[in-house]
Amino acid sequence: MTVHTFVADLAATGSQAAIPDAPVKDGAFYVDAESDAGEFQFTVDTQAGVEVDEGRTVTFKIDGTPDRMGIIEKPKVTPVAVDRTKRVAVVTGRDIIAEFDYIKVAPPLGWATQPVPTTVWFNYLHPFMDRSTWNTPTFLGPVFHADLDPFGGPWYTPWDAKPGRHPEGWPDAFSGWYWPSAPDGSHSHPIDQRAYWYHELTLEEVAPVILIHTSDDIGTLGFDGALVDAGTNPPGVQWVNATAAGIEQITGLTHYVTGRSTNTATYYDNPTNTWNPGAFACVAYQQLSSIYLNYDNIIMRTSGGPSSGDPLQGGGWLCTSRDFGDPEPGFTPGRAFRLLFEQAQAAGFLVGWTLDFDDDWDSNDEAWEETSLLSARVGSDSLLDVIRNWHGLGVWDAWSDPADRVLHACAWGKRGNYAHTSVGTGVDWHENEVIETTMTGMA
Amino acid sequence: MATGWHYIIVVNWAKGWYVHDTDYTSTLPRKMIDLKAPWIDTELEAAQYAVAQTPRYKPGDVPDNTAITLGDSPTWVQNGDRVNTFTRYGTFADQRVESRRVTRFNNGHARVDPTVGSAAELLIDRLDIDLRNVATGNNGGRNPETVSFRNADSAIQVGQLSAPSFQTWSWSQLDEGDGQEVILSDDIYLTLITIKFHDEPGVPITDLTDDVTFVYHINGVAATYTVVPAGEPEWTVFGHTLLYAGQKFMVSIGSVGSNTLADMAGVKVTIDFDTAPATLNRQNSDAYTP
Repeated sequence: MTVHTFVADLAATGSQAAIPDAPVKDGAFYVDAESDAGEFQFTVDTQAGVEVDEGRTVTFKIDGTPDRMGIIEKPKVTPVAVDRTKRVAVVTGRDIIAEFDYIKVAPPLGWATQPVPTTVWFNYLHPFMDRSTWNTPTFLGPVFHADLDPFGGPWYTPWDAKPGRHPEGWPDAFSGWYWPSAPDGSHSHPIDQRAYWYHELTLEEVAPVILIHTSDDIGTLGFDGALVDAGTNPPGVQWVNATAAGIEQITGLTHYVTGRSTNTATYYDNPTNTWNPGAFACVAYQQLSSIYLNYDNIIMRTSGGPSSGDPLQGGGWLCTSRDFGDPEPGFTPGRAFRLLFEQAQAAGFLVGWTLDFDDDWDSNDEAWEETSLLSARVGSDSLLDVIRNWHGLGVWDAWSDPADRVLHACAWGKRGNYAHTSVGTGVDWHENEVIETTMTGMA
Repeated sequence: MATGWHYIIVVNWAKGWYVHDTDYTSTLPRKMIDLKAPWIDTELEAAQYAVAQTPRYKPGDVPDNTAITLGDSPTWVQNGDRVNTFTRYGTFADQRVESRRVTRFNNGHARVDPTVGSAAELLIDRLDIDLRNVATGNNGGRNPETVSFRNADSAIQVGQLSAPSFQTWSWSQLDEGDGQEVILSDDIYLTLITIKFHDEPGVPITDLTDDVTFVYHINGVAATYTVVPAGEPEWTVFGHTLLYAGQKFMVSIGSVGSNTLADMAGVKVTIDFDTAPATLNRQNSDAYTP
């Protein structure tokens, strides 16, 4: 007879020392669920003064080796009973990963900040995407064109990405068009090339911000991770108009403008893709000197000096591009979850937890794949929901350590030796081991 | 395989339903599978998605999970481990441990009851995700550019800017002191001012021999001016001018230089104004405290 011993160790609490091999009764069980908090339940004799209050952790050991760690959530205690055998506690709880269920997803800039998105999108909208490889944009030319430059001097080159035309209602004479690269010899960028924009915006004061933007041909704009505008559908033409986003409620001085522009094919027949540049323009105002859209109130723009470092001259923007068919810039699951995790710890949750993965490498020491599919609902998803959802989405497997508050995670389906280690390390369960198998149809 | 279902896939995409029969030749009893795919924006992508799901819903196919009751097993497994064990029809296959239930069942002894999934099931699930990526152009769900979106969730107000109306001015019989005046009803920002010389049918005039100066007056006070160089039929300058509601705005000819009355005979001038909204907006204007 092959036997495995089942032992439950209760960890020390504020009032009690650790209790190794607590007097649990047969019938105790725990469930190790995939990327989720499996439940456990055991009955323990409390006559010896064993306290099994909420929040106490328990480690289940098989043959002396920690196999799962759980946290007590719902003890049902019977301290008084004439029948002394009934003086027990029926203790239920979940895997220690349940502690991720105790904290909800915060907005990207944290709780009590504004503005907030209702969903954290781990894509180009997110303020903290890895943009270390992004570049300074290329200035394609001014939004406006006149016979004299805005200072009254002779006009200069480059001339204009949109010769002779500018968006209706565009208020700023010094704005310029940006794209990650210069147009080709046909004055065009590739059809369906996408450009991504980022600007860390330092406000002069905590006060409303007006963003005015447009894209050739269509574009979206984000602010602090919220999608504030998604442009105009064909047959509308976005760049002939300017769109304003009024952000009234502002917290803090540092904010993040993000965006994406797509250079679509021309609406007319243009087989050689001539005179079809992509372009993006943006200007931001605050009420610094008056209530008007005048120069003194401008705090940032796209303009002729993308490398200047001065936001009023167009500095501070970063960009990248993707051609048709290329994946969106995204996050590794490691980076995305680290951001949520660090926010939670900064708010005092998940004390003692560490991650066994980082932005680049998973717990199998394999490189994460980047994806733009990740999201989390602010205030409604717990971090455990995030763990579950990303598993359901086929992004990752995540599990807690059997003995410590350590979260492991790896690419989807690669936990364990089924798909990860070499074939042959698996187990055979054939006639001698299996008493019964039951299949459940999934269709 | 003689049993199972003949699946009819209905993809509920963003703008409708796409119906796909997984196998027209099947005579098995029909079952409709409703796949909600709001991230798909075109019928073509919906069709691709449905076709790609077909391997998962082959007629008679029976994806399943297997719960195993183990007896005297010397081995211990963790989630994700590979086991070779019985499948539906009693044959053996490699399967993956998807969850475990561990019970203390007899004097402190432990028993593990795992649930395993077939390799096919694992691969099919993975395929599903890959398909989703393909169907959306690796785009993270619905493409936000495909909807005209105004974000109500984040309480941010968004709207298209309209250039305030500013009538094009045109007059002839040019001479110094001639001009036009308007009283503004809105705050307006002048971005560009374009001055054109032309004759009555609209043909540009390029033979003026000297500069012509236009002077802009606000409430009767000369504010600035534009010099149109000799021979230029059209001249565009930046306005840089914020005009407030109630102001009187006038443009007049300050000088025609050495051009004679004869030179100017038949010359018509047209002034176009490109404009922009001048105030931030109603809500924000309340927030400003000088």
